[in-house]
Parts: sequence; C-alpha cells; structure tokens
Amino acid sequence: MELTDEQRAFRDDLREYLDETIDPIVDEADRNGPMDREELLGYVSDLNELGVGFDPETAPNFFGDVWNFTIAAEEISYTWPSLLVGVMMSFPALFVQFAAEQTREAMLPKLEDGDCLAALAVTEPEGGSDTARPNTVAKKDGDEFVINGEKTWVGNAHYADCVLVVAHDDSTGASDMFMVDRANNDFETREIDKMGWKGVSNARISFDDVRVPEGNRLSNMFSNAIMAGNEMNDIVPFPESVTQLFFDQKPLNATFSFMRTGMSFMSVGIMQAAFDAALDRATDRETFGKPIAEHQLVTEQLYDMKAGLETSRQLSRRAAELLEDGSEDARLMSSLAKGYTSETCKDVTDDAIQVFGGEGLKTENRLERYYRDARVMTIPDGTTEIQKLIVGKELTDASAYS
Amino acid sequence: MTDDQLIQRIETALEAEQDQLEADLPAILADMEGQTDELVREHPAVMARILGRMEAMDIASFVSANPETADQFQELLWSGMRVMVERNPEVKEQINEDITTNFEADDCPMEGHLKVREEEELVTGGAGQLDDADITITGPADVLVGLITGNVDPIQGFMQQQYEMDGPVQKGTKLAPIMNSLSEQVPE
Repeated sequence: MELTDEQRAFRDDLREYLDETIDPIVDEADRNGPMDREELLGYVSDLNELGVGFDPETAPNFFGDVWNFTIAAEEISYTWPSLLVGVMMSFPALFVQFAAEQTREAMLPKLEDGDCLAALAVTEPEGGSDTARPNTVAKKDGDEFVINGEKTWVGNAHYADCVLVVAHDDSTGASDMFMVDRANNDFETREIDKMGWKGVSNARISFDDVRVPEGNRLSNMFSNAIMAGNEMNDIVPFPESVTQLFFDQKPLNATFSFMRTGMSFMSVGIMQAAFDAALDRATDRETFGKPIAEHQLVTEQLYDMKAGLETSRQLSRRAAELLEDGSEDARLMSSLAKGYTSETCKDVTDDAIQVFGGEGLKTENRLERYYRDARVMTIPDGTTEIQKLIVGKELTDASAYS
Repeated sequence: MTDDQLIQRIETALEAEQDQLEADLPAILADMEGQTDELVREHPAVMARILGRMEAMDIASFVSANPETADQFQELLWSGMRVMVERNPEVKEQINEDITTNFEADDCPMEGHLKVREEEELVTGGAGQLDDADITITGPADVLVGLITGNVDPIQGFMQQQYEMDGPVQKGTKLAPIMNSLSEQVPE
C-alpha cells in the first residue's frame, strides 16, 4: 500500500517530533518509572497539535482514518511504546460528551481543554479479561448504578479523570460498561510495578459502593446520543467501515479488532527500532578484524529479524486494509496479526540483544528496554492464546473456548 | 361473538393466573383474528393489558407449544403499532426514511417483519418475512417482543448484545428512534 501525501506528511511530522523531543529524554524517562499526570498531559498536548489524540476535535481525523491510527501506533512505539499506551488508553474520555449531566459538567471543560485523561478497566484479579462474565457488578438503585468490584492492569488509572468500567449489569443480566468520573465518585488505586512499558502507569482499582448515574451506562449513552439525532460515527469516531462492523460482528468485537490492529503496529514499531539498532551495530562493531556483519551467523540473525519484521508489517497492513474495508475477516486478521506480531516481536528483540552481545544486556542501552517492552505485547488486549481461539472460531465457526 | 362479549371474555381471562391465561390465550387470539385493528382502536387499555401479561410469559415456550398462535400474537402486536402511529404525531415525526426489517426468533419458530414508509408516514408489520429487507434482527422471542412493546430499549439491547442486527448501520440508527417512540406510546 502507498501512503497518500497527507498520510506521509502526518508520519513525517510525527517522526520529527519524536526524534527531536522524545528520543533525547526517553531512556531516563522510562527508567524513572511511570510518567506523572502533568508529563503525560504535556505529551498529549504536543501530539494533539500533530493530529494524534482523543479530544472531540482531534479524534474524528485520528481514529477516523485507519492509516493515521496505525502510523501513529508504529511511529510512537518505535521511540517510546509507553507513550502510545498512555495516549491511546485515554480514548474513553471521548464518551464524556454523552454521559450524564453531572459527568459532563465535571469533565467536558477538561476534555475540551485537553486536560481529561481516561482509562479502560477490563481485566479482573480473578477471571482475567472475560468481558462477557465480569465479577464486577453494577446494581441498579433508583436512578443510579452502584458498582462493586476490583480491576487490575488498568492503564492510566492512577491519574485518570474518568474510567470506563466493564461490569455485570444486574438489572439486565448482561455485560455493559459504566463511566466513573473521579470528580463525583472517587476510587482507590494501587500502582503495579512491571517489567515492561515502565513509562506508563498501570494500577489496580477497587470500586467499593461507587455510585454513578444511570446515564453513565455506556448503552444508555449510545441510546441517548442516537435519540438526540447523532449517528453512530458521532459517538465512536471510527471509520464508517468499523462502525458497520459493530452490526456485523458486535460492538465490543469490532472495537477489539481496531485496538488489536493498533497493537500489531505497535509491535512492528518496537521491532523496527530493535532491527535498526542491530543493523547499525552489525556494520559498526568489529571483531576478529572485520565488522560483525561479515560473520555469516550474524547475517543469518539479521535475515531472521528482517523476515520477522516485514512479515509482521505486511500482516498488520492486511489487518488494517480489512478494517478499512469493513470486511467480515477483520476480526480474524486483527487477532492473527496481534498474536503473530507480538510473538515475533519477542524473537526479534531477543535476536537484537544477541547481535549486541554483552552490550545488549546493559541497562544503559536500549536493547533491554525493547526486549522488556516486547515481552509485554503478547498479553494485553487478549493473550496470544486468546487470539488463537478467536482465529480458530473465525476459521471453523466452532468454539474451543471451553 | 360480539365485540363486547369478546372484550368481556378477554377481561375475564386477564384476571386469571398466568397458567390459565396461557391456556386461554390461543382461543382468544383466534377469536380476535381479523378485527384486531378495530379492537385496538376502541379498547387500547385492554389490548395493552394483554401485551403486558404476554411480556411476563416465556414467549418462546408459548410459541413452540402453540405455533399457529405466533402469527395471531404478532397480528395483535402490529395492529397496536399501526394504530399508535396513526394517532401519534410524535411517532410520525421520527419517520424520515423507508426502512424494511425482518425479525427472526432464535429460540422458537417466530418470524415477523416491519415496514417504515416515509411518504405515507406509516409503520406496518406482520408475521412472515420480507424479501431483501434492509435489516434483519435476530434474538430470543421475548427480546424481540420487548423491542416492540418497549421492554427492551433498541440501542441498549443491541449494545448489551441481547440481540443481533444485520444490515447498514445507518438504517439501524434511524430505526431505533422510531421503535423507541412507538414503544413509548404503549399504554401502561
């Protein structure tokens, strides 16, 4: 596929910003652990200027163009995957526009000023990411829902202004999502120290009798917004082809197809960074009187890395094309791409360390960060095992989930 | 049987326990066949009570046990809808596009359809399926009935995956407000 002039300009501007602003600080920033709220908001503001973001003005062009979304996923991850996670995981802030009055009053001015950070709370300490059967429960009480439960691995939770929580809706017996805004309903968080993506906060959240207005139930937000005359694309700023997949493949599955395609490009970005570093090393570093690139076993490693990188990139692009087309195969291919590229990313970053030898093990070099960040990729947004089950189901129409 | 006798019979049946009502309902619906529009117009509260009691039933079991009654039950539902649209400018205001929809229960042999016609400002429906409908809605019978009577909000129900919808998303989002305003007209 060829990028349009506009998409190429978007990528070049983004690359220039990342090279000039993020690259010089990324090693220390990542080493220091999760960026704080003010740091993240600063980057969010910079990225908004470049057309990346979740505020009502930026989101339609960013999430509404599959290629802009995937370019950003790859380019930002090339330099700092944690930054991509911090920005992307704030996307539920978009729904503030359609929430109950008290949430809109508290959060809409912040969203419009670019000061509203959000989080998506799916995974639970018991039961993982089974969105169909969450243990967190929302019970109807008058005009409110009362939420009780625990979520873990919630990106941005520590400093998020609002969180979209997957919970069992006791009033209907179905799974739904609920917007909890911190101005009206605060909650406890506990930071999780982790091996990769160290620049972004992940936390555990406890919801203890947290009350939210019924208008903060996501299905109510959609219903109210559509009754007010909005189209589906006004609510979720995905391309029309992706919102069509809401009908064809269920809303949550279509959202996951979009996110997993982004994750796939994220792996490609990390791989490209590791490959570029290894290639430089192979041509610069000399042993036994010649560059290590002239040793056949190093060449073989470069071959393997390049093959992994390019097959991953092509597979990711195929997933993006199918999303753009609204194809019935989008779910299959996004899961295949996410599963394959995240596993390949582990191998490529591992090979890159091998090319570097002992230098690759030093924490002062980036190779070990690439390796740690790559290791995370196979787990969020559905583990590789889950991707295999989805692909199997899509191929055979037979479920092997249980 | 005169209309008054039929209404009297229905009201008596509605006083009965659920099991007895379910036993009586096939015969009542059969007697109503062909005159549901008129009955709905003249006795909206009684018709609403029938629908209300049917909402409490296990629709799939009832239809499976009384397959011939499924069409008669739908006839009652759709007559009610037709009359409500005729009488309510709020519903007519929502009609700004032609939309055809098929309904298909996945837990019993019940199929129906809905036609929204912009020019005539009409919503009509009935048993059986249309060829080449814009939208197909599939789900449990009680959810499909709930969509029509207002027990299930069309958007909430879809987002919570209580039913599935195939067709253009744009048509679906136009249909939802019409169904919502229809169900708001069902007398309590």
